[in-house]
Amino acid sequence: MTTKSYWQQFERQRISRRRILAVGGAGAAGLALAAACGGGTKGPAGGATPGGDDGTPRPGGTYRTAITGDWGTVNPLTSVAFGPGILAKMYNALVFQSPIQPDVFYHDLASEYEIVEDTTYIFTIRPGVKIAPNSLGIEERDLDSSDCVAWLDAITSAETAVAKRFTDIWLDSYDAPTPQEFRMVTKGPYAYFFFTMNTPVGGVIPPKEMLEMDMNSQGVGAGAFVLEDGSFVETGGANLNRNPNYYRTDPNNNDAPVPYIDRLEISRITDRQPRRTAFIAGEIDSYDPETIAEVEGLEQDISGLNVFEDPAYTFIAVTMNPTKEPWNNDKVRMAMNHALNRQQYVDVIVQGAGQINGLVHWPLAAYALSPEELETLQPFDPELSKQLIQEAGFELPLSVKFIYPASSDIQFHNKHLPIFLEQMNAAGFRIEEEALIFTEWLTRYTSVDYDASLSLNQIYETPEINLDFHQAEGPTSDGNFALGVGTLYPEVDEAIKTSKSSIDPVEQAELVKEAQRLIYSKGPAFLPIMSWTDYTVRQPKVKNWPRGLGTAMELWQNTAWLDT
Amino acid sequence: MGRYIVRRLLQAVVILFTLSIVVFILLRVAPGANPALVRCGLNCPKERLAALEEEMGLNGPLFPVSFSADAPIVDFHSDSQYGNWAQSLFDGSLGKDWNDNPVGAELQRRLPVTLELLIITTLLTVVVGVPFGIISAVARNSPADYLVRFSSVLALAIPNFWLGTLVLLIPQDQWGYAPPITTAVSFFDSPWDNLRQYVPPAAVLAAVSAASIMRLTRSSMLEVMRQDYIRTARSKGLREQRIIGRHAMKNALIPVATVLGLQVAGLFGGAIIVESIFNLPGVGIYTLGALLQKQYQVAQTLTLYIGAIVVLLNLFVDVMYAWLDPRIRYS
Amino acid sequence: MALERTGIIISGLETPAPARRRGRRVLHLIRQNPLGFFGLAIVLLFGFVAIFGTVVAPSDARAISAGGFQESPSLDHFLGTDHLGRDMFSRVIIGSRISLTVGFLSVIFGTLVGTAIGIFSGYVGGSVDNFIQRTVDTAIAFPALLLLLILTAVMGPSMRTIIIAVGIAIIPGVARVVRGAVLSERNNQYVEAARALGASTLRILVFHITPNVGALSIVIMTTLLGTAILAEASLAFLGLGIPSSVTWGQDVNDARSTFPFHFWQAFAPGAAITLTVLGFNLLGDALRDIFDPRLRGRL
Repeated sequence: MTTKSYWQQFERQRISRRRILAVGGAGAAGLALAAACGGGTKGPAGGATPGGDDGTPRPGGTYRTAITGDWGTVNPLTSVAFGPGILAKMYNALVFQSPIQPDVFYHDLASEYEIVEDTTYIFTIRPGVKIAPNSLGIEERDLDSSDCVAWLDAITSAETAVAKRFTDIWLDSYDAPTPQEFRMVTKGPYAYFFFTMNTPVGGVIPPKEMLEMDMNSQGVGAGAFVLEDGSFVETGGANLNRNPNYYRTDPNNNDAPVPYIDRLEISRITDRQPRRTAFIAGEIDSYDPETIAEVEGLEQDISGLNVFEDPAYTFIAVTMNPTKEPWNNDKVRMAMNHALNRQQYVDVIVQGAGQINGLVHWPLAAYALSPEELETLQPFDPELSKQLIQEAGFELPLSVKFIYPASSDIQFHNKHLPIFLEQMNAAGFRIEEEALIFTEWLTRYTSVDYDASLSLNQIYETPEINLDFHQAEGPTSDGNFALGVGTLYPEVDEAIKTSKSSIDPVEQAELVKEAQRLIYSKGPAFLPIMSWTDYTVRQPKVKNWPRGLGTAMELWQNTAWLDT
Repeated sequence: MGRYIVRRLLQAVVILFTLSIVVFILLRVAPGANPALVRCGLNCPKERLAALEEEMGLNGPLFPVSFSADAPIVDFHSDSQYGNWAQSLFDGSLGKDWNDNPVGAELQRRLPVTLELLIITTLLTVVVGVPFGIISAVARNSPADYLVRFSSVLALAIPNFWLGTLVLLIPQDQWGYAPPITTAVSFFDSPWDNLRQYVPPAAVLAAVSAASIMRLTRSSMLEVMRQDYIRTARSKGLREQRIIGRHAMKNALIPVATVLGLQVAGLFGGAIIVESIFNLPGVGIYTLGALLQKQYQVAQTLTLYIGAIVVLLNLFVDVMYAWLDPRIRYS
Repeated sequence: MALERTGIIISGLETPAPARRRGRRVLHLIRQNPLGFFGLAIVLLFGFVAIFGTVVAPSDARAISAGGFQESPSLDHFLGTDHLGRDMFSRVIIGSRISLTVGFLSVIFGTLVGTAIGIFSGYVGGSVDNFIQRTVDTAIAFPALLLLLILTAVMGPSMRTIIIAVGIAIIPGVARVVRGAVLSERNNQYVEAARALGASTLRILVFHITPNVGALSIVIMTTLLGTAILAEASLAFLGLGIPSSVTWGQDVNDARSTFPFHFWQAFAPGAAITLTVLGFNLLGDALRDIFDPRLRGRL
């Protein structure tokens, strides 16, 4: 399948100012799109229909996975660590949007929605989204719009909630005209509405009774699975059982109830090596290989291995503090831009299975600048770096301080580091390293107590945070984590704000690109290096796992089954 | 004997108290991470941060007693950070970590893992170390002796993380074999799997401690066999076997028992590296995680707990030693 | 962990032989003790490699993509390459610098302080000595890796931290052995004679006790070097070593977390650590035998 850019796909189905047809319903048609595109290039094609490659689904079985860190909590309002991994399984969002194919929507609690005048979102609540049987004393009723109201009430009145940033800045009002209708109004057109309010991180809706209870280590909702009482261990694993009341059925299989999988068992394996060992020994059913070489090695060990490819929405970046010397000098920042040989990271760390990044990473195809344009804006030229440093009035080599986390599990961080140091030496910089224990690094990074740092990676599913890093007030608009060149050039802040305020995808994508070009001309202080291809491998017995739609959507719940 | 024990107990209390102060100062006072910020996570508003700091007790006075230049010169605080921590130790709750999980419960979960690892390691150590030590001493300067001595020096030189890595990865690479690695298997659930899980890491640990015990046994035996009473026994015509079995071994093994006791104390701290490689949820990686995340409450408590075990085991071993060898008691 | 690896037994009753007569016996005894000579050879080899490392190493140890990824040993790369294409042979050579430097500095620091404490405690005696001895006992039994972790977590990972931390971990063991030696020295006849002649405490300490204890210290230091190298490697393995330098421990960590598992990438640095520590241990054993055969049962 030829990869169409985001906005090209959108052109076929422009969001008009009137009604938007629901693509939802029990048989997520988005899967047809995946099958047509052929998904990844390895492994059996995840067939969208049973009786296809994988056979007729059978219910039953336990799907086992491993997480690599502490859960945090399973509180849907505040959890940011590994908790969100199961929140979309336990609870529901209104409508999910695929970050890879943004014209694919997964309608969950809302069976359809309408956007009126760019700012008003009217959701029709689907009947029959029933709460799971539970021992917390919550009635097994259908969710309705009052739960949505209670949810936003909780967020807006909470001291801290992930979605509070959105509600504080963008939310104008919300109400429930009828039990089956829920309405939200934003203060202005906001391009990233769905990605902010309908994501497992802060955007899932618990039953209103849960909001009165302790949601940190227990939870009952109307999602496909329900957390098993007492199985949640904050530094360990958790178990989830199928919700017998779950509303979805499989239209391609005589409306059989889904999910087919009976049980999820999640354990905690921090180190990669025992995790890999567990997968090879068949003790867990999915694993995250780091490189294509690892995938090939596993394919030789396990025949019939399912291999999934997704672009990784994450990257390591160089963050400079433009309020400190020498980074307050435009030419020095530009010198850093030219000192980075981004391609070398791609070649050495992932053996070519990735691409270099501009200010917006390449997986967000619609918003990223083309490789040709990037070649003119950020060419690798160490001689130019040295020249710029000298033009800025500094002696070669220029001594700069860098902080970074020492013993870090951040993916590929330890591999970026030696390459980075080598490259800087060749380009006229002398790095004074300050390795810190991870929590200490995080503290300093959060309070912008640094000259320069290698940044942590996060999941960047929209270009919003990429651009916000260049704002004066940083990516969270409160002076934390980083300060952007907006502190030096207010027009940068203007351009960024403008780029958020259109909900026309074609227009908005162009605004994002314009903002990037402007930032390049001022010498950006936040430089993403490269993004790679994320591999996931699953045991041969895992059937019908959807491909190519990104990982935020839990579509597998409706099709995947285990051939035990 | 009684006085000896009482004296040692008092000393133990003083040492533990000193240790608690040192650990508290090191971990709490040293500059570094702000635990409230780490717990609050991303997007932490400043008011929330202040509230968390208050809630986590980071703002109160450090010690129950403080001194200042102006009156009152000595000030007592009922709600000091050190005081609260000490109280949590005495009432057994052992405090909570950042997500409000009780440390005591977590420790209870992990102790059986560490205990089993410890038991198997000690068994292997004794079974391998002592006999070879005796053989080596008795067959002194023979090829067998040289071989055993060289092996033990080699074993002491091998880094345990390297050995552990090879033990885990080579079977996997060559034969696709792996021990259970997702969760800790209880012995009562599945003995075979349990042993498969615990014996490899225990063997890695035992390689070092057995070598140590072997050398000690050997030198202790040699020392004892040179003693006068052994020569007397020999001149009396007793059989060599009887001499070794009856007289030499008993006395030679006293210092061995001492060191074994110390090794066990060390293992209570959990074999951090081995637990990490083999993914055993024991006390060791719990401590490692707490230190790396600067979870003060947990790290302090665990360190003190390990210190207490060390001190008490030391005491126990010394008392046994004194009881077995009356010459020590009065020195 | 630390001291029991070398099998040091403390009973406090040994008496080291006087300083003078030992010199000539040294060479003779090394020849008689083949293991010790082997150890010496290893130590000298690694010492040479550490000092002249940059000349001896065929490539720059940090150069990315000097070869292909995870190659097996070849004529170009004697020990193969790692996951970033760096030459393992060069990395082993350059890695010796950190290991030996950290080893030496931390052992010197620890031994100096430990010896001072031991001399003080042994000479002063009484309840002060008793208290110090108890503290030292506790410190010895306390898991050394945990101590290192606490200190590193507090001070942050750096060269200085590791040297200080390893040094501190060494102090108690040294203090105990030295104290034992001082106890027996104290009752020696020539010390009594000096005291009878009116020599001050300080004079006795400096001129009589220290030289004899000093020989003991050298033996201890040699074996402790092995321990210090292992300690630094363990910290590096956990990711808390000296950041971004070329160290053996970090290399083993890289090897273990890279898939596919490349045997040579893990084997080379680990073998280097083992060999070096083995060398120091054998040398230490031999030195101990030389300086006082009576110590053989005790150290």
